[in-house]
Amino acid sequence: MIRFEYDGRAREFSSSTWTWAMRFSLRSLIAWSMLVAAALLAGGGYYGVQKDRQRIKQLESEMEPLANSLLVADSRRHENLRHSLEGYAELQSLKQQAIQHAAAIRDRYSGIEKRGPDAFSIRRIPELRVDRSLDRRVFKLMVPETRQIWLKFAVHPSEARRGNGNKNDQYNDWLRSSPLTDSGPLQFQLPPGEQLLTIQEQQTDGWRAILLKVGEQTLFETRYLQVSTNGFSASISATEQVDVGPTQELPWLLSVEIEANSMNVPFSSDFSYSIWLSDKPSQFETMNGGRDE
Amino acid sequence: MSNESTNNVGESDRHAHSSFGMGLTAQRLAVQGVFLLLFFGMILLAWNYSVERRELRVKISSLEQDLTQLQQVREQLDVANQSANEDQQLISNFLRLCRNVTDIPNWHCDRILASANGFENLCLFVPDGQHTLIIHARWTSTDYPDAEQSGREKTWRIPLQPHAGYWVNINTPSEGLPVGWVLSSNHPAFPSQRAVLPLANFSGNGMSQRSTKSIQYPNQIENSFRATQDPDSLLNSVDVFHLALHGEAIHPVAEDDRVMMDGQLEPTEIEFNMRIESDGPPVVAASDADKFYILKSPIQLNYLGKGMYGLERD
Repeated sequence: MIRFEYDGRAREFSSSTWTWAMRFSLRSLIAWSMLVAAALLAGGGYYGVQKDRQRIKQLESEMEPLANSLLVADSRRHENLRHSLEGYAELQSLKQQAIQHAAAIRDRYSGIEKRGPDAFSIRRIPELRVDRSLDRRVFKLMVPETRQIWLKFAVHPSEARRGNGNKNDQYNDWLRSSPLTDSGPLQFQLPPGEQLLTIQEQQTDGWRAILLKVGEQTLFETRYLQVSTNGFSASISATEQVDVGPTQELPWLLSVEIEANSMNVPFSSDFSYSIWLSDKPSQFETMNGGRDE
Repeated sequence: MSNESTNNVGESDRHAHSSFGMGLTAQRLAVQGVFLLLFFGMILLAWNYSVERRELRVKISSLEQDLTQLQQVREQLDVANQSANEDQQLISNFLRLCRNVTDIPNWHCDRILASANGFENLCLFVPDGQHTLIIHARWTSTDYPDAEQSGREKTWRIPLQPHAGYWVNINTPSEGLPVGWVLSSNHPAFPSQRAVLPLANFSGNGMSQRSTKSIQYPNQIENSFRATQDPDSLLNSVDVFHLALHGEAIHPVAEDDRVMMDGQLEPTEIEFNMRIESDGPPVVAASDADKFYILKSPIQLNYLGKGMYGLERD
């Protein structure tokens, strides 16, 4: 600061300092920029390394349970898993063969013979259950022209069916309200001649849909929110033809005990639905069967 | 004086200027040194991180690849496990559809397929190889469970034709025939065979059945845990059928070298057990083999292909 008191030199000195200062500023600016750039580069590198290390930790933590479940640490046990896949491959081939042969068996046992003008004949056609969500029973029927045969559907407490034997027509307290969206009771007069009756239950999104079809015509459809299906029973389980004369009682086909969720009933209880055949009509509504597929 | 002093001042000023300049240079050098140190340090650090990141990225890529592979194997195994169960169920369902020996198809497989159809029938398929059907029947008087049971059991060993379907029917009282069995095959070179038990007037009041696996490798061991604990339990055969009949029958009585059937009706239990004995060592399915490794069994496992291991004792 003193040096500014001197003329000439001081100014000269001041000018050189200024120049130097100016030069320093430019240099330092560049230098700082370079330093900052280098620092950013190093910082970025450090951040990247940390990120990569975290990613490695994350990958390792994801791999550990997988590697444990796949027994990677023990080469023999890990190899054994691969061998089990080879064993499964043969099962898949057997499954395909089973599906093909099932069609042949179905064809072999799907014929029905007419046994006299008054005989009603029925046989259950063997059906391979391929889809676990679909439970289907298919019956071949021979309905004589001289007889009226009614297909009936009704819902009842499970106990009522057990105590009732196969005398469904003598039971009168059918339920009109139940966990089923449509409880019936309903009936349908089967047309004469050879008929294919399908009764199926299909599981979709928690609902279990019951469907009755004659040929391709859907007679009736109802469904329930399933909790569990306790038991199935069907009197026509054999694939042999059963003939029923005019004096004999026609068979019941199926009773299914269900436990279902419902807004219609105040408490959870066992319900069953039954499907049977009868010579006599009941005071039931007729299945409209209005839909053709 | 003033000149001198002026000169002195000028000298000192020059000196000051010069020493200031030297100080400045040193400072500049120091600053430049620090700068260069910092700069190159940073560059070095950045280069080091970059090298490390390259290595880490290689590791990440390798880990990601491993993880993807493991995930694929896990997924494949989960799907395969689930579909294997479903496939087995479907094959069992199919076997139950068969009504007689002509319904048994010509399977292309290396496994024994067996299913009880109803209580009285066994639907059976044996693959290529030598197989023997062993039918063991045992009839006991339940009134005298501790009595001498010798002569009250019989074993039939029937060599089977390879790659053929068989149907065994147990004659039960409901069919009005003496209790026994009938074996038929869809192989043209295999004649039907039958045998009856030496019991008279059997009338049944119940039946019970123990289920067996529908799909088995020839000589597949039944219980891999038991085999690891007791290597002596290894058998060269598989279980295919169990039926117990309960009722009453007249048992034969040996008297003076004659067998008499004039005794009283005795409460009787008849058991039928059927096994298939095959050539080759006992085997375990790969899906059951892990127990041998976990329990460090002394039994040697030799992979035979198609998901099965042959078992050899040390």
